[in-house]
Order: sequence, then C-alpha cells, then structure tokens
Amino acid sequence: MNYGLYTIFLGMRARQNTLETQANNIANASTTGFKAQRMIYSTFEADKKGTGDRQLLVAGASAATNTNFTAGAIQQTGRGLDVAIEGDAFLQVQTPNGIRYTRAGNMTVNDGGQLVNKNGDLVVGEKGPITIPRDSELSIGKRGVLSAGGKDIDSLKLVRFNNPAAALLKDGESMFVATGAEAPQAATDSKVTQGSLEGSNINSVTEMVAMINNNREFESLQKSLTLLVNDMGRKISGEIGKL
Amino acid sequence: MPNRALLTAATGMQVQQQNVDNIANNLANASTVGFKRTRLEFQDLMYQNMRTAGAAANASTPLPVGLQIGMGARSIASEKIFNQGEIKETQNPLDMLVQGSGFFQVRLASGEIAYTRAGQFHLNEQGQVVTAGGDQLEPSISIPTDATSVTIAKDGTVSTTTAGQSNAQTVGQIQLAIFANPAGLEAMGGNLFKATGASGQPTVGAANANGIGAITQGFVEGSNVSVVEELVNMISAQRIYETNSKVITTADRMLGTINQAVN
Repeated sequence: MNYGLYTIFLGMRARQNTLETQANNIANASTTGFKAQRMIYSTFEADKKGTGDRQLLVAGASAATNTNFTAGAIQQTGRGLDVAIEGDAFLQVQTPNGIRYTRAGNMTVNDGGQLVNKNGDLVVGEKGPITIPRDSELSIGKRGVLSAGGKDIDSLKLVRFNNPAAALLKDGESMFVATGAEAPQAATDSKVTQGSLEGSNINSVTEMVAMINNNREFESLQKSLTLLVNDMGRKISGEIGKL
Repeated sequence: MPNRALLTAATGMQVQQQNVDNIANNLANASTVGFKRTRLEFQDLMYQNMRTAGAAANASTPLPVGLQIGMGARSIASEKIFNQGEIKETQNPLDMLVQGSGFFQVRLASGEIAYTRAGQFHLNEQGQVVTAGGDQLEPSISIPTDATSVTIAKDGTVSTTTAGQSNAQTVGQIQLAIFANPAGLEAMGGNLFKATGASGQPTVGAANANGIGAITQGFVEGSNVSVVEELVNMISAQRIYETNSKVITTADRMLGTINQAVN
C-alpha cells in the first residue's frame, strides 16, 4: 500500500465533503431558523510503522460536521403566528416520528384550530397540543404565554441544551432530533417575540471565502497527487530499466 | 462527490427562482384591491448521516461529532399573509371594507361559494349586488331600482331610501365568513379564495360580532403588498441566487481538477 496516495485521498475526500456542506449552507440562505454547519478536520491515524524515533505515522484528515447554533438575524413580519426566539431555546414539535426541536417559529393553525408547523406537526405547549380559539386575536407574550380574549390558554414549551452541538442532530425540514447526549431543560432566559422570524444564520461572505479556500486546498492536493504519481512512475520505470 | 454539491446548489437556485417568481406576483398586484401578499417559506432537505455522533469510534470512545451532509433546500409553503391592506376612501356606496377578520361570500356561476376581501361591489341589471366579475354577493341582496341612497351599517345591514319616503327600508344583511386557518385558503385568482381542508369550514355570521370584523361603507381595502419590502427581498434573492451559482462553478472546478489528476 502506498501511504502517500491514501493520505491525499483522505484529504481530497474531506474537501469534497466540505464543499457539499457549504453548498447546503448557501442553498439554505433563506430558510427560516436554519443553522449553518461547519467542517472540523481531525487527524485520522491509519497505521504506525516502526517504533520510537523511527516511527512513521500514517495519517490523513477526517471530516466531521458541527452545527453552529448562533442566532440568525431577526426579521419583522407582523404576522401573529410568527415567533422569533431571543436566547438559546427551541420550540418543541410533535411529529409522527417523535419529538423534534426547531428554531423556525413560522407556525400556522390546522383545520382543527391547533397550532402546527408548516409540515402540519403539532407545536407543543406546557399542557400538550395548543388549540387556538377562532374568534379572538392571539397574543404571545415574552415568556411564550399564549392568550386570547384576555385569557391565558397555554404557553409554548421552550427547552434548551447546554451543548446543542452534541445534543442535537439535523433532521431536515428545519428540525433537530435529540441524540440523547443530554436531556432538554426548561429554558427560562429566552424571550419570545411575536410577529418576527429568525432568518438563516449563514453568512454569505464567510461561506464564499471558505469555499474559495477549500477549492485551493483541493487543487494543492491534486498537485501533490500528480507529483507523487509521476515520481513513483519514474522510479518504477528506472527500476525496471536496471533489470 | 462534488456532484452532490452541484445538485445541492441547484436546489438553492430553484428556491430563489421560485422566490423571485412569487415577489413578481406580489409586485404585480401592488394596486389590486383586496390582494393579500404571498410569502414563500423554505426548509432544508434531508441529511445524509455519513457518521453518526455518539456512535462508537472504538471500544471506549464515542464519536463526539458526526458527519451529516445536507441535500439543499426547498419551498415548503406559500403562505398568504392576511394583514390588513391600506384603507382607501372612495365614497362609493357599494364599496365596503372589512375591519378585522372576515371575508365576503360570493356565489360563483357554478353555485360554489368563494370568499373575498375585495369589497368593491356593483349592481347588475336586476339590481343585485355583484362583484366586478358579475358573481353575486351571498346571501343575495337586491337594491330596488327606485332607491335614492344605500346605507350599509357596521353589522352589514343594508337599507335603502326611496324618493318620497322618509323611512329607510332594510333590504338584507351581509354575512361574513371567518376561518380557523385563513392561510390555508386556496387563491383562485380574481381576488377570490376557496375553502380547503387546511382552512377548515367557515363560521358564517353577522359582521361586528363574535370576532367577525365590522363593515365600513365607502372605503375599500387596498393591496397589503409593501413595494419597498418586496424590492429588498428581490435584491437579496438575486444575491443568494448568484452565490449558489458560484457553488456550481466551484464544484465544476473541483471535477476539472480531478480530471487533470488523471492525465
């Protein structure tokens, strides 16, 4: 086995994965409550040759994704069923596949008058599913308390994680699923703003710069590959010539 | 594969294309009476879990982070925003404004009921109150041909006076419909909406009671499109479209780089 080739392969594969992640971030520049992902490279140890001072470490880069949970820009919409969360809380949603968490507060009402997200999944309150009266205006307070006609109905269930990057996995459709690394806790410091939405937290400039950089790294690896292959080819031809 | 990045960027471009299509329709209706702007909403697509966080890296250590590659974005909903449009005074006796929630009911030629916020009504040759499209207001209201004035009260009561009569006569009462989820109504064009499973069945009742808005005569509700907001959204959509196209260029370059290596 040629270890140089393998190291270059791992490096190129990691850059390809990075481009795919950047493409997904940019494609979701308008997605409500979207959280950008970033790649983390780490050394991946494939093999060790020899011992002590004469040790040769055979290694390459391995890529992992990490979700960046910083807040996106808050946009005013003036729509009564839009909420933005200031702070680290998530809304809880009941889907057919179980509980999911989201920062996308663009809620709506189903034909039964229940509060749902855009996929029709129930948005959960402290008392379970939330039914909105149809004849009076709904107001949502800073603490997530829903009231209509002067009466409190329920309040949005807001939960938080100490380390959301480890506790949550992306599930698509603007939702996250818990990995089980950490139990959700009640979020008491977050504020809910009615009539606003949290936009995507991607930064186009950062993404573009990272994409150019990534492309150049990929090219450098390709140059190393060409050098290595040509070098090896010459050596092999030379050896064959001596026979 | 850079190929996946190509496809992902294509979904991003498609989303922005639809975004601009929608903005164009909103802007085109910036002067349409009773028009409600549409907002497109986006979601990320599924993720491919190439390595799952928490899975065992070896016997003793779980992987602290996984590798999840997303597949792009899509438009999930086109939501009508039912904010009140700007209020315009017309002094036309058959122009009506609903202040609050509530839709006028219109009986189409097919017999079906449609709903509208566009309160510009006219009389047909039989004296019935109809929309500009000729569809009758439901319940049907006829104005006597010799009426000299028409008065519409806040609760929708229509009364007329005729020459030589001092007392106004009530000729009918306009009823309005409200929905549990107006955003679920289907836009039919012509300022009309149709009830769907998502909107729920309407609750019909007299205006100015039980959460149904009041009717104001002599005013109409303009479009609720904000031209400035749409223009800002359009610029942002165009920029994001461009950024997505850069991803395609980059993915293409990476594929080109691989081809060079094979030389």
